[in-house]
Amino acid sequence: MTDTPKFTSMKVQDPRTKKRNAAEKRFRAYGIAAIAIGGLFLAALTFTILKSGLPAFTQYVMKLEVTLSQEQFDDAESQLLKTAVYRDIFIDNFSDQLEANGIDVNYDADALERLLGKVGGDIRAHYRENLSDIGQPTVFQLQLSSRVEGYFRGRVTRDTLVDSRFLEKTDLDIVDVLRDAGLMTGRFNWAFLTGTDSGVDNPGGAGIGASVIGSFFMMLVVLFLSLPIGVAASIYLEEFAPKNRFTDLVEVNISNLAAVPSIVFGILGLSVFIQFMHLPQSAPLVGGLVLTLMTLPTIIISTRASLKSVPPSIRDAALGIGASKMQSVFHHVLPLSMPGILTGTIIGLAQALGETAPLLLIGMVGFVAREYPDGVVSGFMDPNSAMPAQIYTWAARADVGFYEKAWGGIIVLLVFLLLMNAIAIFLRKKFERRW
Amino acid sequence: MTDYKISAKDVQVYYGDNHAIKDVNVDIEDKTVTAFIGPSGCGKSTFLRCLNRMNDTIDICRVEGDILLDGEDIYDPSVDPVQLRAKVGMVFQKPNPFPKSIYDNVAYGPKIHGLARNKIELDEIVEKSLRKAALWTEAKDRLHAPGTGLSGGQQQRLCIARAIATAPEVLLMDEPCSALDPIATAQVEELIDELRQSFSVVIVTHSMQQAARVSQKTAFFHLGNLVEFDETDKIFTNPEDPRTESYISGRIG
Amino acid sequence: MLTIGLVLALCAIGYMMGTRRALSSASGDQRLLHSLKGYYGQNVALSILVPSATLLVVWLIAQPLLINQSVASLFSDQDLAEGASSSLIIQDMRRVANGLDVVVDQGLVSDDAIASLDAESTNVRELLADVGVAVGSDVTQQTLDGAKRYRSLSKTGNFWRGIAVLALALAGFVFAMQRTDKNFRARNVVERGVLILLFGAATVAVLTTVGIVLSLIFNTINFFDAFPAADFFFGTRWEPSFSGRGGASDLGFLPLIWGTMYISIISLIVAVPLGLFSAIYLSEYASDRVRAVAKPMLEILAGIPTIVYGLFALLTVGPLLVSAFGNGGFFGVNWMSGGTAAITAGSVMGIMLIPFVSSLSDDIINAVPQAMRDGSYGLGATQSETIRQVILPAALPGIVGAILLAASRAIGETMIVVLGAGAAASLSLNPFEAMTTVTAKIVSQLTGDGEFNSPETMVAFALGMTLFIITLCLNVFALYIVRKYREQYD
Repeated sequence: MTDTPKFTSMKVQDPRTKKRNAAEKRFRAYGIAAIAIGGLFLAALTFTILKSGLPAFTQYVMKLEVTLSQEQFDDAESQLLKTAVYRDIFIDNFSDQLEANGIDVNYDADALERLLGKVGGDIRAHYRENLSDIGQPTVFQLQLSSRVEGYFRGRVTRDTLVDSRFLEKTDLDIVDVLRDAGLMTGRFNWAFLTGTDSGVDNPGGAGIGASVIGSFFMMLVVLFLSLPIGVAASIYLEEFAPKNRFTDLVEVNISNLAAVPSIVFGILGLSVFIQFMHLPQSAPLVGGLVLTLMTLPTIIISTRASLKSVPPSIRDAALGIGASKMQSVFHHVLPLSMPGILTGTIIGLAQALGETAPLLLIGMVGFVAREYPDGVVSGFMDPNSAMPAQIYTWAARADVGFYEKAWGGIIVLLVFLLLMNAIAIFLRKKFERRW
Repeated sequence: MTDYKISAKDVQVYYGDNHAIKDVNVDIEDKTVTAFIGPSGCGKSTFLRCLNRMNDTIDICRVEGDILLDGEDIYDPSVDPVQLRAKVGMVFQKPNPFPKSIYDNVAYGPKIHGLARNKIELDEIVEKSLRKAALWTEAKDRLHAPGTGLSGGQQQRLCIARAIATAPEVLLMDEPCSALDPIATAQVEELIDELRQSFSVVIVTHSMQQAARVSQKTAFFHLGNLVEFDETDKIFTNPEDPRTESYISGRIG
Repeated sequence: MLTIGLVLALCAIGYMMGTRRALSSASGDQRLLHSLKGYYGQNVALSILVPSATLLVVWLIAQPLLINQSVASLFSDQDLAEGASSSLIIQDMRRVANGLDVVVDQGLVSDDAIASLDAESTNVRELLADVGVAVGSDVTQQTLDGAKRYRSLSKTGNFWRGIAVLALALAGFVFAMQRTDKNFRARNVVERGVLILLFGAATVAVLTTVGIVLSLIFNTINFFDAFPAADFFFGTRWEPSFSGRGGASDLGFLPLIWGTMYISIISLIVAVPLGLFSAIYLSEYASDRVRAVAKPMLEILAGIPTIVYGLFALLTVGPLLVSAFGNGGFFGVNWMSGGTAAITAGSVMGIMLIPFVSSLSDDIINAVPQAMRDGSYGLGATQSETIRQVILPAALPGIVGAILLAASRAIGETMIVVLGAGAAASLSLNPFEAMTTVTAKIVSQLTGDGEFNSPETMVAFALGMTLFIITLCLNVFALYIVRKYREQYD
């Protein structure tokens, strides 16, 4: 190789270089493909969530104007089978309305029950609560049964429908006619946002409201415990801790706790808080305590990072004018790192909000979100569910109608998470400081 | 084909908005040692990195003008920088052996460029390069020990061996001795003098003594300009430009 | 609640009085005080709050334990011999006691009348059912006695707890007030106190670990008392019998750990190449603009709650895979009979793990010094040659650490496998078959309606213990590797 190399132009790629450059292109393409697959998956996930979840926010109802006179009311209340009377009144009004709209379709009381459920009870309940509506024309919006709703959404079709006591093919003729006449329509499903969990046979009536409240109380517990404890622990470790074996132990502990599977925290909560300390099962307080322990390492790690980012010159300046170490930390370092701490805390809370597995173990599944808590204390102590646990509960039920609710619940959960992350990003952008 | 190995014409280099190299014209002869000297930040390293397009890896760097290697513009779009760098090797300021064995460090270049047909040829190239870099006697018994385990001077000679194993035509050296102690420096300087037998060497150095010792030609850079370029003897004894003189006598820099 | 309110009120009063007293001892001149006046107040408030709060917490933990012991002495060994365990009986008693509380609250029976209640003449079960407290079986006299004892003890305990806490708060108040004087070094004392509080907060992390270990160990020991350890660790069948149906359960651990490992490996097969290539592209090739979009995009994947992935596996990926590999599916192979399978959970989990692999690998690749890249480019290597032959070998230990952390995450992941992997434990090699994992079984055993003390339930703790040990080892090892790697290039 010491001999004079013969001249080769660099403008012409020799075969080997061509091969190497092709390999280079391939390698780069792998990278792009990997990222693209990630992006594709995210897109697919978003699409699925929206497509399957958005229907949960609409509800299909039949609008019907009913007029009930005082005599009819008194008469019905004096009967033995009260709801049957109301049902007949309803059917009378229904047939009047059909006639008024010029609709001609065959139906009977059973068919209407299959479409609308037991309307008599609904109507009676309404008039008993709103006595002033008696004698006035009142528009009822009666919720359609879950299979009819499925028909509206394309989940149930004439081809797949098997006649049963829930729905028969002929019923769909009635539905078609009423839909075309505008009597059966969709509307925004407020009940889903504000409602509570329902029975296994009533996916239409299930709402996520109560479990949102459950999540809210849990987050209160997490916030008010993990923020002070996390910040205090971080200040100690970052500013005061002597270099000794105990400090090392704490450090190793924190980084390991951050990676312990969440279900193990659930076991901890079950045996310490419920078995040992006899706190009530399924209570948001217990859920909050478990999530606090889970969130602490996250908060400690991010708080320490933001304490570390405050330059030592600030501490020196405070110490230099005679402040104590404690004063320099609480008066100068802590306020300066507050935005970072808050950002970390919000992200930790968002993580806790989406956590499911430990909540299953402390009993926040099943029919626990049946009613709203009466007050603050019962908000903490009474059995309730939380958003992700409620979603799991729905996903585990047999009726496919609940799947839609589960997806809808995910939309609600993700909206909360997005909101929290947006706040965190906003805080970070607004208070970002470069030293 | 010109007489010069490398000739640079009106080279301008910009870092973003910063005009780092202004109108530099240099001709580098084959089988000589050319030294670039000048105060810190004068652009000598930047210019050196233009010669094998190492500046390509920096996004904001832009090069204008012509740099010809054997009469071919190396910034021509059809030139493959990979082929260029196989011809124009480089040794860096800080020894940067790969975290591999000594053998693999040296064999890396020949392997990627396909210089050896088989293991025996590869072994030959490795031995030859290590011998040339004056590292063979120290390293022959530990060829499969990690290269990072060598001393600083040995590491730098390993990097030189690694660079010459690809059989370059030009070897660029960016302050190769600045991280070394005097004894290691002497060894590397001796090595540079021997390498001149095979190809041309361009060396950037902070030390004027070093430039005087190893080079035949010297270029003095100041504030991005090439101030003077001449025989080394002439630069150090009888510089034409007053700026060169004041630098050499220690008044600027 | 009342006690806490009173203590807090006392704190506020103490703060004001402490400040005032300090000032008056210096005849109103702040400059004569050793510390700022606020510190005197804080000293008093802390002296009230810290000891009384500590006592309250200790009491809250200790009281139920002591009561349990006292109640347990009520029943004889003979009762225990009948097969019921003592904690189960106590649990019943406590339930009845709580029910009686509700009864009294609602005014159905007066407090005095409860004392004369006996199981012969009153159907306590119905009484409790009236107020919405369901009891599993009829209440025996013994249980009723226990419940009464439990109630009265709790009542006395709660009463004395209030007294003791308040007394301690008052004592702290008096003590601190007496020390308050212009020469008293209030700042130093307060700062020492605050430091102790900070230290206490730092120990919470250690206490959590201790809590985890203790709760796992005790319950695991209980489990191995009732179920032979060898059958657990080496059993190849997982067939718990349902409560009430009788018959012995097979609680073999092997099918579960097999499922766990199998699914984790599938997920790593998905996550490692995708995550690694993403990291390489982002750190070596991508322009700043691409990086600014792609990096947060991958991080979103990490921020999505696992329940979402679980639902996605169950309702979208599973059916999709069946339509590809199932009967009459796209490939016409009929390998897959149900949507829940190892491959469903594994592939979705793999996607979830991409950001775990990629963001840590990205950091680690960035930590490889630029000099390495320069050295390789200077020799005429292409970028991919540099990455494959120089950067990846240099970053290998760190990347291995990242993969181990991802593996630990995969092993401990719960919701995706609960929803996506199926419930049948099997020692199968077929990825299209339903499998189950350690975590999924912990959930199903602890959320079922089994008796709490049956081996079928307690086995969850043994599973949790194994899970904890496996992931702990992986984490410690991985964190150690990553730390060593970082130190190398610092």
